Amino acid sequence: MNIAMHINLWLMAAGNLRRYRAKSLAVMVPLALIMAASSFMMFTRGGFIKEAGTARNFLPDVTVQGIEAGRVGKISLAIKERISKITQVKTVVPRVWGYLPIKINDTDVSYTLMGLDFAHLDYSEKIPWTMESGSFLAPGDRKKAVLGNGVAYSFEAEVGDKIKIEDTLGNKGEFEVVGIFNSAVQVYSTDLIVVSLADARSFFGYNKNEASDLLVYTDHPENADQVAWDITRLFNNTRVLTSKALTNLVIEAFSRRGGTFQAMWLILLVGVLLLIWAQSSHISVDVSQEIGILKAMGWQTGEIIEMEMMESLILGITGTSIGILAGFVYALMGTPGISGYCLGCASIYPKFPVPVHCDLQSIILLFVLGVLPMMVVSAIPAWLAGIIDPDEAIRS
Amino acid sequence: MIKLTNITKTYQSGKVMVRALNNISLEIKKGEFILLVGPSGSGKTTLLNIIGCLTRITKGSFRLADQEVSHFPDHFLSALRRKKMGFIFQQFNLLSGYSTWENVTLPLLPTGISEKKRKARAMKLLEELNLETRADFMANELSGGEQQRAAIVRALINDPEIILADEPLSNIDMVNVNIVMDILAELKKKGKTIITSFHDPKTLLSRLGDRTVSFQSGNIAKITDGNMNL
Amino acid sequence: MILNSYIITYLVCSIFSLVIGLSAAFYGFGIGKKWDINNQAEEQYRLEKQVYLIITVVSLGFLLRILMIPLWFWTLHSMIISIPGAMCLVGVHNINSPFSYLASGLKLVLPALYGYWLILNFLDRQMVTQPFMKQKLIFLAPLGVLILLETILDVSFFFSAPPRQVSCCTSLFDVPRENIPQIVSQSTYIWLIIFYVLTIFILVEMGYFFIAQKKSKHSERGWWFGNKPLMGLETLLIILVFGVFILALHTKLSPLFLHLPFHHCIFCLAQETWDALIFMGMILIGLILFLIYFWVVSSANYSEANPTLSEKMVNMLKWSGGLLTGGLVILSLHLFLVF
Repeated sequence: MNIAMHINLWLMAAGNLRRYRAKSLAVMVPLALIMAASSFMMFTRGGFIKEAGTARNFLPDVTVQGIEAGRVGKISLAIKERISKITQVKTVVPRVWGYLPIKINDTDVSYTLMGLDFAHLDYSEKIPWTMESGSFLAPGDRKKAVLGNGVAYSFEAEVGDKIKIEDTLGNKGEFEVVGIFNSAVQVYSTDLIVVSLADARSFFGYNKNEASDLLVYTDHPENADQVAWDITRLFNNTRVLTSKALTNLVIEAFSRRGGTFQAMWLILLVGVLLLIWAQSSHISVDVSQEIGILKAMGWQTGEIIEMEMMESLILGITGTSIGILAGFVYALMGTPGISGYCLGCASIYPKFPVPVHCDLQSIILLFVLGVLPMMVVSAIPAWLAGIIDPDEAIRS
Repeated sequence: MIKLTNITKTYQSGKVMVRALNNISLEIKKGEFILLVGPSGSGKTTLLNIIGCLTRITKGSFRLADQEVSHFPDHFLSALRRKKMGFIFQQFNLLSGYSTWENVTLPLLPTGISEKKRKARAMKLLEELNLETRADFMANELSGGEQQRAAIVRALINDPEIILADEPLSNIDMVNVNIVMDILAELKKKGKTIITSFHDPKTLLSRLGDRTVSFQSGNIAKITDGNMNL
Repeated sequence: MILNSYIITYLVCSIFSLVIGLSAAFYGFGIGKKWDINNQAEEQYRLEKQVYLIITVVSLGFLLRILMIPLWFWTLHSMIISIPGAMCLVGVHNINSPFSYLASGLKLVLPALYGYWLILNFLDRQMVTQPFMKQKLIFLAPLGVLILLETILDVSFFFSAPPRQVSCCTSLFDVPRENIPQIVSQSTYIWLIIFYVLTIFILVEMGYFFIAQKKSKHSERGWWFGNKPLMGLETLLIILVFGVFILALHTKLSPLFLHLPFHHCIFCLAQETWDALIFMGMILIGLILFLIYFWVVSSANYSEANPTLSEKMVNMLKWSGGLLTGGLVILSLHLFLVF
């Protein structure tokens, strides 16, 4: 294989693009724009998936919720002991949580207050790298809270401050802020207020034998499915969720949102391809004559086609690269204008930057999406250029 | 070297079939300088294009270097052009947007020769034709005569055996006509086969010809040995 | 239907591949029927120009098919989270088994067929007479049918992918043995040994043909030229070796290299063992090149072309032997390290 020949054709193709700048830009700019749209969506999806993976470290292996009248309700602690007896179950911990509809500066927002039993939960290894400031709650702590960074921002709270919470349903409470979560797990933590189990019970009016759900920890995460299956079999009136299912739910929701966006984006792609087709299928008299001259000098039809295809390849790679870069910058800026769509719900999180993650696989996928259609669309124009009759072209 | 037997070439012009060449035969030996003369539309450029493998015959036999090439596929004809032919056009046909040296090395690009070697070969030939100072000029910055000399360098860059020139003196001034004639005379001395067309029989080029082939309406009207001694 | 960026990208590629495959088949078949190298009429020149279009789109199709191999498996991987019970690609395949396995198989077969076409085209263009022109153009018709079949399988796969519980690798292979054929559930060395024996036999064969092909440089004669029964036998042999290789990977190599005695998943092997993809690819391409060698030399017109093409055929055997040997060496080294 004559690699040097292909390099020469590549250089010639690049030279042609430089010579016909206006035509090249007319193809490259729309391509870069739609690739920017596609890439920010893909990087945002990557961000959500990465965060979901990180957050999975903090989820219990199995979560058990109670079912009352066919819908999710409180769960009685009576079944806690029976679940503990299932082989492979290490600990069962009750949790009380609920949503807080609050008005802040005339804006309706919604936070989550969660009460955990710190006497039985051991987060000591995982917590330090999730805290932006302060520390996590310790067993026996009362009237103290750890806030998600979105909540801390809304309340303008720092470690040591006291915050008064009163939701629109009439629940009230006052807590001292002892810690604030960082952004590593913000998908899950930004709207979170973590308090002790007893404080949450008193806030939501639960009695001692009730909880919102039970957190089940197994001896090995691989056994979660088996334990979940056993609980489902033993207790009809429960809803059982594994950590994998919960994480996948989040990932899938964002994947679907990305997929739907991508499906709509395809219409744009078709439009741009038609534009590219219109640009590249028109062979001007000048270009036709140049090709005739090259063929008279011994260039083969295949070499002309290759050169034309290389022009498309260079345009495709350049347009896609610029688009990816622009999409990445746009995502880093928090996808202004459409962050609500990316996040799924804007009102819950007053301050919640869209997570961004970029990996090699996404980049390859984007290049496939940008360059390949460009090449396919250019195949017939390249062929038409290649088969120009030299004698006719020169005479013209 | 070149043997054309009973060649007919027809082509479609709109709805009409035009017979550009009508059953002509011609043999050209290696190192000959052949002049094709005749009015516009008489078939001389068509014959030049057939010999240059730019267009194919409709009927007959075309042998080049003892090979019947009329059935050659397109890529073999291109390869023949690249190895054996050099074209000089009436309109020079240099590509705009490229420098002189880049233009003259265009035939070498698909052979895979590196830029350094290409430029070295171009500079050597440009020097021979006193164009070395114009090597980095863009094609449109050259005068008509310089453009034609650059086109000649381009035709010679592959060291071809056959030079095909279509009205090479038509668009240049008298000073450059003499220069181009000297170059062609030099090439003839080097043993190149030169086939050139011109419509004006009084052209100075006729002094160089070994044979003159006169065309009339797609037929060979006369073949004169030696130059026309005008 | 599950919708995500990977599926959309894959479907875009799939549509392009179908358009390319069908148009090449349609035009190729038409040109192939009319092709006459001795015809000087304008019609023949028109056909020659159309052949360039076929070459352009088939080259593009080949690139597309190569890209679609990783893209297909990445797409399946992106679906794991949407399919309850699926833990790896086996689980994803099981939503529409056995058709999904057929679709995955075609992902490897189609680039090989495109590769054969491009090699045949390259060899054909070395000669003025273009002896393989009709053969290569007509070959595009069955290729187009296969691409159509593959697209139908792919689309039906994506549309039949509701989030439902499927069995996955360990659960599939850990079920009671009487429920699945023993051939896929057992952990035995027998298939690995058969694979080694057959591969060494093929390498000896390659050596023989390499020497014979070298000797036949200026000759139009060779007992294996135009030999269709031999081509049939070699095709069967290579399919057999490929099948045995899959069984060897499945029964022994996966559990061995993954260090999990009950984990027979080839997809997990390819993902988690860095050299597995390399030796699998090298062995596969080596076998395919050897098969292409026989498909070319068995052509009716090959004898007259041999003096021109012999050197290129020797190179093909060199590459095929080199890749197969390389793949076998990497596999053997890994086996050696495991023990």
